Amino acid sequence: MHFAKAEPEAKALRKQAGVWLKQLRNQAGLSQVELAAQLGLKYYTFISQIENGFGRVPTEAMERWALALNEKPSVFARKLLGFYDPELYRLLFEDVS
Amino acid sequence: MSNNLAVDNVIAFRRPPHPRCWSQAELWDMTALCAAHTRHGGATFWSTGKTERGDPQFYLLDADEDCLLCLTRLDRRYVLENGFGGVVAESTDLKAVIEQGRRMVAHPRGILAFVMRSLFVVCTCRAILDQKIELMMAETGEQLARFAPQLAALV
Repeated sequence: MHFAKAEPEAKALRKQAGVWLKQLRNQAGLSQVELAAQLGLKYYTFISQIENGFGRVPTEAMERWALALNEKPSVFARKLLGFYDPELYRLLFEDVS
Repeated sequence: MSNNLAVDNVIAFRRPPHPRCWSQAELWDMTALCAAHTRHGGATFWSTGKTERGDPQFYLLDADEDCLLCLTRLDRRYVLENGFGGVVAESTDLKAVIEQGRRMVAHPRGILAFVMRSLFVVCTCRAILDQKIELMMAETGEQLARFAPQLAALV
């Protein structure tokens, strides 16, 4: 059995996550620099890394991200899980019976 | 008035802005980092991008195109981060930053060789020191043996 995610799909989903996060940031009226400052990051470059679809929001930082982007942490984490691990998301939140 | 005069006579020499993309020389240096990670660190791809402000970024990616390392040039400063946003190195010297990045992927065999080399150096230094100390102790003993009777005679 092959459990590995299709690479192009994982990449595309990460890009979509980046676009979604950028939208949220814009809605919150924050620049990348301002968001980085709210998250306590030294540089804003990590925000760009994630928004460009090359990185992921670390699990331990999801709550801070959510609050900075005016999102409910549980909703935010759930949405990101859908992008980062769609199979787990399906098992947890979609009716498979 | 004197202030106005001073201002009128000042010619602002502005630093030319750094180009908003990677230069050929920078890319050449960064391929060294890429090569090191390809050999030992599991990097498969690289890509480039930009921040919102237009600062160039260089991403080193694994097989899933997840970021292993991200190098950004902020004005004249290079910042190297891992895939979790942790700052690995930062400097105005690109080569120094790349060297830090290369050290991150030191191969286990390389680390073992480094440890063995270090142990060898420590052991050698200790042996040399032991020899020197032994020699010094012997000399001190000899001198003590020579001067002790004279000192005793004086007392």
